[in-house]
Amino acid sequence: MPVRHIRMDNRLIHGQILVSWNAAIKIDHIIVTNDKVAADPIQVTLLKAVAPIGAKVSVLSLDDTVAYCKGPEAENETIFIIAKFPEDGVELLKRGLKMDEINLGNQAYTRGSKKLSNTVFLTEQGVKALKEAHDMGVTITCRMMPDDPKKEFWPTIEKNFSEWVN
Amino acid sequence: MVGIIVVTHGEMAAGLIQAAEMIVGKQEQLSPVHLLEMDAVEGLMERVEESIGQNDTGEGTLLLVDLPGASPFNACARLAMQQEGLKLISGVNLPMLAELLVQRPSHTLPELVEIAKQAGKFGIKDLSEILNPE
Repeated sequence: MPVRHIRMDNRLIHGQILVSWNAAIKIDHIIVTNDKVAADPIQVTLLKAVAPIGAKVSVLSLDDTVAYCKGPEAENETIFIIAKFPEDGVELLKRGLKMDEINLGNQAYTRGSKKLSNTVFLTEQGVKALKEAHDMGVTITCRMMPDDPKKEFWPTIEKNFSEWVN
Repeated sequence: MVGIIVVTHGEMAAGLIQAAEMIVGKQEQLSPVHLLEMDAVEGLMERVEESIGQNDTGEGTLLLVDLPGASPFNACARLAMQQEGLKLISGVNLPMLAELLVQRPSHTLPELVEIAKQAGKFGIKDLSEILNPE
């Protein structure tokens, strides 16, 4: 499968990804996906400028990400997708991108969000999106580093965010 | 696994290690040694040797220092010229250290020397050149 990993991270590309994830997965192509980011030329330029040795960076809308990953160019690549929010990652799934795992990397605190772990805060929309992914059979993980265990976090989310799940 | 010792002026080494661990996670066989204002080179050599003893598991040790020709460099150079399995690289920076730490489990000491040199240089970027390539 060309898409090796799908990480929700609102810091987008940063040190842990360039160094640790890139070493663990040997990424050919980092795709940052979020409609707003893809439409912001300054962010696009900067994100593309920091590509690690051996990898290229694209910043694509959700639709373009799904289309690219299903297309012929993706077949020979090892792709690492960084979605800004859980809603973005789940939207990829709903628009037809196959995935086994959605990883919650970093999600900073925003107003109205609640803590899942030291580095992940979830909003009501985020939790509702993750529920859809869970219902479609996707494992929800919470791995900052590549050697963190692939533990299923859905039961913890369901318990800690019960008011948003139902 | 190869041991890594960062030897610097002031407390830069501990700060650099703390920063690197934010990126790559907590590490084994990685220690700082600091040159303080009252130190003699001999005292610094002793502390580096002691640190080598704690970090070297037989696969060698990489000594990373800040400034070529300065006391941390001189002390480490004297050790590296006398002992097998010691390599010395100057100009340590965060791109170099972070890359070494993720590559270290699967590489030998001579390979890590090349990785250090490459990653240290790759980390220096001029934003103007990135934005306006010739």
